[in-house]
Amino acid sequence: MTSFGKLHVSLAPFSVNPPIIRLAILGLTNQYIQCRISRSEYEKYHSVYHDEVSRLNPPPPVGDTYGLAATSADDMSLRTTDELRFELFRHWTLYDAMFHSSYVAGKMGIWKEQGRKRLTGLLAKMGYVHDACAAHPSDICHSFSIPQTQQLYAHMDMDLKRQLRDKLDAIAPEYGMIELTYPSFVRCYGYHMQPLSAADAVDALNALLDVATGVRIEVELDGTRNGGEWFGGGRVWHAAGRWGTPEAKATATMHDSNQDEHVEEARVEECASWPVRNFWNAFDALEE
Amino acid sequence: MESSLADIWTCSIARLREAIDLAKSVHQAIIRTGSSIIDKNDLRTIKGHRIVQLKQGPDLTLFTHPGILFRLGLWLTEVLRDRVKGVIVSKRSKKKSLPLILACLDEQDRTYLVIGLNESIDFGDVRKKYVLHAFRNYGFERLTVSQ
Repeated sequence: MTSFGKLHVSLAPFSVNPPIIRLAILGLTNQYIQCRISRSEYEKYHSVYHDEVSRLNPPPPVGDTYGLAATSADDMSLRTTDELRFELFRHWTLYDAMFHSSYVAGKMGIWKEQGRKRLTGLLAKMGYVHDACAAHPSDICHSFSIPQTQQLYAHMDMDLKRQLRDKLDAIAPEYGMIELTYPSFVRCYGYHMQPLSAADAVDALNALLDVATGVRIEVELDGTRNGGEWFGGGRVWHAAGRWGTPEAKATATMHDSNQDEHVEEARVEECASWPVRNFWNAFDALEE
Repeated sequence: MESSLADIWTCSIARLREAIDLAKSVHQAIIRTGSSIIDKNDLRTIKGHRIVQLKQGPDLTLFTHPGILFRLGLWLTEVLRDRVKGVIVSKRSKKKSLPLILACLDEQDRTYLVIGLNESIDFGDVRKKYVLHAFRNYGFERLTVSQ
């Protein structure tokens, strides 16, 4: 959180190699999206990293200025883009990404039925939802057609992805959304997953830091909506790995006496409080 | 050696992917709770300070984590920005801001986790924190400050 956020300041003088720049960008973005620094401060550092990223990475492919996809399986490059203020929109459905973004929520009044209708109306104007279905997206009309907005972004038509920005630029101002984008970065992960924007990475890491262990939380499974399975199912989050969710186990007693060190280590790991576990979880996710 | 490095690499990607699902759940919880706060008018205003007290709800245990409660505060600030008037809290500067105090009940310990935010009324601007002083004003007599 805070310490993570201060990272970019301490790393600024050494920002010469890609992993450090990556960390610095994450720190900077974290501070900006959590309103800890002002826009002008953000832009000051952003321009520095922008130059570094452009210098160290191959230029983005022609026709893909928005970081839509990696060019090859080994494409792990950083790119500079203008990012939308939607949450995790490359990894979610467009509707969900807008629904959960605080910027959109504030402009639309998303907590009321009316606000949700306005959001669906916007998507309808962009041509992503049939007007007949615009009443409420989770209503029964899904069984007849699955609008593009309810599909995972990864499964949306490439054309729609390309036109997304232009359409938003044309229609969003009607709804008072004028600062829909901000300059940021994306990182490609080859074909492992969709490119990850700096804000998405910060979001994921913050989630790990806060709730990777220590609290019971359910996560939604991909493909369980729209009748993908019987019910919109979820599963209880369970952090894997060495610093995963502790289980009620008595393995320590099964060790031989000559493995005292191991027992000791296991005990230390079991006793580690959730903030410590969460820290290591996030740390592992950052690993190069 | 190379293969183990590759293992670590894919492992960290897998972890990030999982973390994205986790982040989604966090977002959903924030929207659920935030919407219900605004819907039910749980925001009390005392001298221009918005005060929220979370006592029940499906995600109560989640919000006993300071980071998540802070995110809820950010969401509320962002949403309220265009809708409420700012107040001048600082004696030195005359800039308006939107002070917000959130308290979440920890049912196990019977304690409240309290955080305060003092965000700018304009998007993309910052304000100095001044929270402790505010807490004292509003009757938090015995205050344990944990950093």
